[in-house]
Amino acid sequence: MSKLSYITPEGLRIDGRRNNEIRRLNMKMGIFNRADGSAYYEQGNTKITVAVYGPREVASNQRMLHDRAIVNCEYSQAAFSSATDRKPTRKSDKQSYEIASLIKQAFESTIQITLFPRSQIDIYVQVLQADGGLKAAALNAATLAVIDAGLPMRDFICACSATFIEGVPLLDMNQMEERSGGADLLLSIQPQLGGVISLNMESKVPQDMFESVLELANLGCMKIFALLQTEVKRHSADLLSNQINPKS
Amino acid sequence: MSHSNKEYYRATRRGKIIKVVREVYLRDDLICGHQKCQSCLEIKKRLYRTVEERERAESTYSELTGEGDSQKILILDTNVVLHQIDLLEDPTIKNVVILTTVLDEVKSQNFPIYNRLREIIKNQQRQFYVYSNEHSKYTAITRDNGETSNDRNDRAIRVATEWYRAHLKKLNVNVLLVTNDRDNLAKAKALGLDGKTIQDLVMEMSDVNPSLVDKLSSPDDDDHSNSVDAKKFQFAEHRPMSLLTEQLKQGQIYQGIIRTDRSNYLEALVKTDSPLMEQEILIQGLESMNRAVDGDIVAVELLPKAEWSRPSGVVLLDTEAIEDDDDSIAKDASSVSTAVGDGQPTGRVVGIIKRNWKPYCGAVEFKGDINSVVTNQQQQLLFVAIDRRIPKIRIRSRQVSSVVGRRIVVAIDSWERHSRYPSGHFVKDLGPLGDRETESQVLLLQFDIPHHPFGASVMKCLPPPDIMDHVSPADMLGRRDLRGECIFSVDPPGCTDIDDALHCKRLPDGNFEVGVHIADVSHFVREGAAIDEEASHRGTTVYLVDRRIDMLPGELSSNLCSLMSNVDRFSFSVIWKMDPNGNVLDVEYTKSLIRSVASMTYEQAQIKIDDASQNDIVATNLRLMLALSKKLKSKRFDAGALILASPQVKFKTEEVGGDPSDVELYQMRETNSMIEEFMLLANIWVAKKIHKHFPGCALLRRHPTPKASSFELLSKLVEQKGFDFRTDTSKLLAESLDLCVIPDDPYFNTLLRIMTTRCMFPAQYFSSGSVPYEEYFHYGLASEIYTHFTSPIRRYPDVIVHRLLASAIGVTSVSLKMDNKTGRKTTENAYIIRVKANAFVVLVPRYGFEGTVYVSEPNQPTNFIYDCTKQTLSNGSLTFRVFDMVTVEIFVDDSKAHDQKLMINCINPVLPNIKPKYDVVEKTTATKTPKDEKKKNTTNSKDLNNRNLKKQKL
Repeated sequence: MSKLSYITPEGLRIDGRRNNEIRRLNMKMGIFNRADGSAYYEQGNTKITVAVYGPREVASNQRMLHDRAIVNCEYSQAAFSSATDRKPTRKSDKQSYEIASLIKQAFESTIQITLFPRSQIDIYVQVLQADGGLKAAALNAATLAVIDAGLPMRDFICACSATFIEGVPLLDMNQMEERSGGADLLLSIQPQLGGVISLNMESKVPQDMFESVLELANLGCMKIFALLQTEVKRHSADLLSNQINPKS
Repeated sequence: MSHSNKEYYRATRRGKIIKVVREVYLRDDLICGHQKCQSCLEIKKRLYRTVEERERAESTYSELTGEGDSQKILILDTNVVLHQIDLLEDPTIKNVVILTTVLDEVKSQNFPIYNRLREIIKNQQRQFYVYSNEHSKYTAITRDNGETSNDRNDRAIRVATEWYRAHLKKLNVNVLLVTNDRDNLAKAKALGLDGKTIQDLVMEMSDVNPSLVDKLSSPDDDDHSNSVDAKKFQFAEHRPMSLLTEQLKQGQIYQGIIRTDRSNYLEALVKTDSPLMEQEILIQGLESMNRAVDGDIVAVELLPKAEWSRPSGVVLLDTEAIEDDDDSIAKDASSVSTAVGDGQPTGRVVGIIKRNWKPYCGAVEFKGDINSVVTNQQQQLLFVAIDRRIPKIRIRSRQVSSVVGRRIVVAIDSWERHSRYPSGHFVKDLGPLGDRETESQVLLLQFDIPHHPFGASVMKCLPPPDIMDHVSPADMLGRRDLRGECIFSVDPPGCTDIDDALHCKRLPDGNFEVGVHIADVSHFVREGAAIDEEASHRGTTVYLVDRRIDMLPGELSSNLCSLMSNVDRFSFSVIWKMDPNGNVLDVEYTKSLIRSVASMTYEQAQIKIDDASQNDIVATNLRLMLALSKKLKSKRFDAGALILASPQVKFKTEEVGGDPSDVELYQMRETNSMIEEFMLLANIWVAKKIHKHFPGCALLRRHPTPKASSFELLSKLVEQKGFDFRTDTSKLLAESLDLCVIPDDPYFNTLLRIMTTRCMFPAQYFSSGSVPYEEYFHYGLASEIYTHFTSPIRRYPDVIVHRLLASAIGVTSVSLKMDNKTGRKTTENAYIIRVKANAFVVLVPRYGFEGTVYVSEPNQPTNFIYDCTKQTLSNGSLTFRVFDMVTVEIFVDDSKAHDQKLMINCINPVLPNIKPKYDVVEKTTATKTPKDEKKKNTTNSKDLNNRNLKKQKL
């Protein structure tokens, strides 16, 4: 059995991308009518929907904060989302909880929650199809939904993953590349303010290569930012034209 | 860039079928690789913004040029690469496009060939360009309904060829599809593509380059119908694979690796892993061997018991060149004397499961006059490999004169049923026969000795050459400055890799201080660094007559690590305090900084000792050491150490690196044995130390006590000569060896020692946790425990031992690799919390868990008396009560891989009926210990032929 190689000497990955290319993005804001904000987001074969409710009254008084809104996040993966394990992931499983708490913290720092004391904002993330890069995709999708909900934000949140396999830094891994056992670096930034929201890495990268992997992840975030912005602009223009001459 | 999904179904390991969906991105920015292509230049400009960037990218692949008038670009089919890789390695084949379809197919079918192809692609001179056709928008195709994957790949190759033709049309380049698949060729021609078989292509080129034809592998036609009909069958047909698997499952046939007898090419043994067949199966005669070559994995069917036979014991070489195929086997069959009767299981090969064909070194058999051979006329030749177990190989050549009298490498292509010999093709010319350089190459190739120069990453690990001129305080941490001592080294003449030095002085109290200082290689070779990996791969330095193949780069082995005189060097020292009788009173291990005052040869040292007029400090110290070493030696022989011998000769050369002019026996002087004595002592004491600190993972060396039966034949023979030959213990053996002297024949004794050595097992490295302590014994040296410490420059195990010793004395931390091994066994204090009839339960506070400690082996009667009211367990001398503290040993019993258990044994107080813990793990033999590093084990002899290439695990 020959060894699987993740990048050929010609510089192409298994799926035909070069090392510094993100997967194809496809997105749509405002897909659910009942939610205050919603978005559908595809990054390669990873497909996610997000619904945002709020700001609304706090459900339980105990958790209410008097100076700002609380942000809740629920993350779940559909039973049919993954090819290999068809076990339904529960809200309470560790991985889901980790991602939910990551999203919650990211948006607590980016939504201007002090404007909405004694209220809560709920973000529901549902993964329809999983093919790697779930954390990053969930953050990006949630950004679109929160913007759709019209919540005041300091900046976008753009996230992208990167790794280091076979001596080459790779951007935006798919599931196969994630399983290579290489490092898994996740960077989420506020692209216009220039702030880093979170940076975490699993497994190890040689110290002298870390900079380049981080640099690449940052590049990926900026590319994603440009695409998110285009969608936001397109969606806003849609909304505007609908208001001026309502067709339906 | 467009995008699609690749979908396919795959069975999981459990047999479940799942659908796999993978994204595929199809690109429009892949360049064709032709130097003059304008449209691709545009793409490159888009891809790389700066010229530097572009040039850097261009340097990673080679461009196609299409030289001269015949602008021709070759696109190869997979079968061409798989069968003609030797031809492709010829530098005259240029301007080739390798499609990723082909690369992937080659990779999955034959990985070594894939690596060779990659090597060619890497070479810029060769102009092999990889076009990623599977990811190109223009050439990617999906498999049609009902299309086999083979057909799909062939179609992909045709589509890519078509694209290339259209793409390079403007440049007037001829794109040629090279395939040996008739179907593919026909379809390509139907598309209007230019296609050729490799044979046709080579024939075309042969006007310019006739040597190419020789490298052509023989055509691999599927139907031999016409040729087969014409000739008589010789070999039985191999059974199809499906039948073999079925029969193997049912136990009708056996599978194993075939090993041809070195001295009789008509006999072979097959060792099977089948539990039903413990003995090796004998295969006799060419017909039974049925085209199996040494090393192949074969399927064997047993003959009826009446036909079982014994090895004939005849030495037989295939000397006749039999050109006429038809009658050859009949002759062979008659030459094997078959002693029918109660023989060993005998069988015949019915199928080949996996070939183990490699390129073989050898020469062409040629009788007659070379000058009479017509040049450029293809001729059949027989190739004889140096390895006698390999059959002769039929090759075809057009240039007989350039092959005869040369050492060449030949690969086997196939072995037809009607042919006595396999047919192959010429691969490489190594040089003229009998030439020293050529034959050295052959030796290195034959024994798989890595002899390529050290890579850049290894050289990068080297410290600056002047590092010893300014030693930093960090280097001196935990290191003693011994530059004040009078240290010297004694080595064979011409030795540049000096790894040991010694000192000796008389102490005021009448005792002696003796120090052995070994080059501190592990200071420069850090664990896990590229240089470390390379050294562990090489395993040992190999000495040839005219050169040395170093384990470590020359900068280290003959300069920075070599303990030369009058320079500061780092070393690892073992220093003993000894009484005048050679008893060790005290020992100290330390890293040190030394400055040798003299490096002598054995001869010089001997002269210094013998010359009574010399009374300098070195001479007196030498004499002291010699006296001590004699004491040590006699002590060792009293314990039963053996003097064993192997034929050692010394080559005399006129000049350094020149041809050897004479061979003489290696002369042993007193000083040789003096140095040897102290080295042995150092090895033994280091072994004790590392075993004490790492009882589970110390690298030691043992020499198994031979079985009494192995001496049977020899002792009978010696008794015939009129000597009493006792082999019961090593001491008796040593004594009888000493007595076996024929005054007229001084070599007889040495001869006997050599033959005795052959009766024994070779010594082996092992990990201390894998063998019970009683078996640590080194039989030849009669030492309870032994390791290799004294030659880290030329032996890798010594480097490991150095690292272990360094962490044992606390200079360095335990290495990561070893750390999880030391974790295998740990000693802790524990409290008894409950007492049972044959066991007690302890709580280990350190880990907070409890476990059961048995006071006797399970199901064995115990002399402990259990008192359930007092909760005590007592056998008179020992009493266990609740709350008592005991010392226990905790380790994982991994003797059964599926059932790993945590075992707890009481070690203080000692339980009488419990065997030491090693018995529990006894079944984990050294060879089964996972993850242990591979080590090469070599004898000390500097003769390559004596190299014991058996790879052993620690």
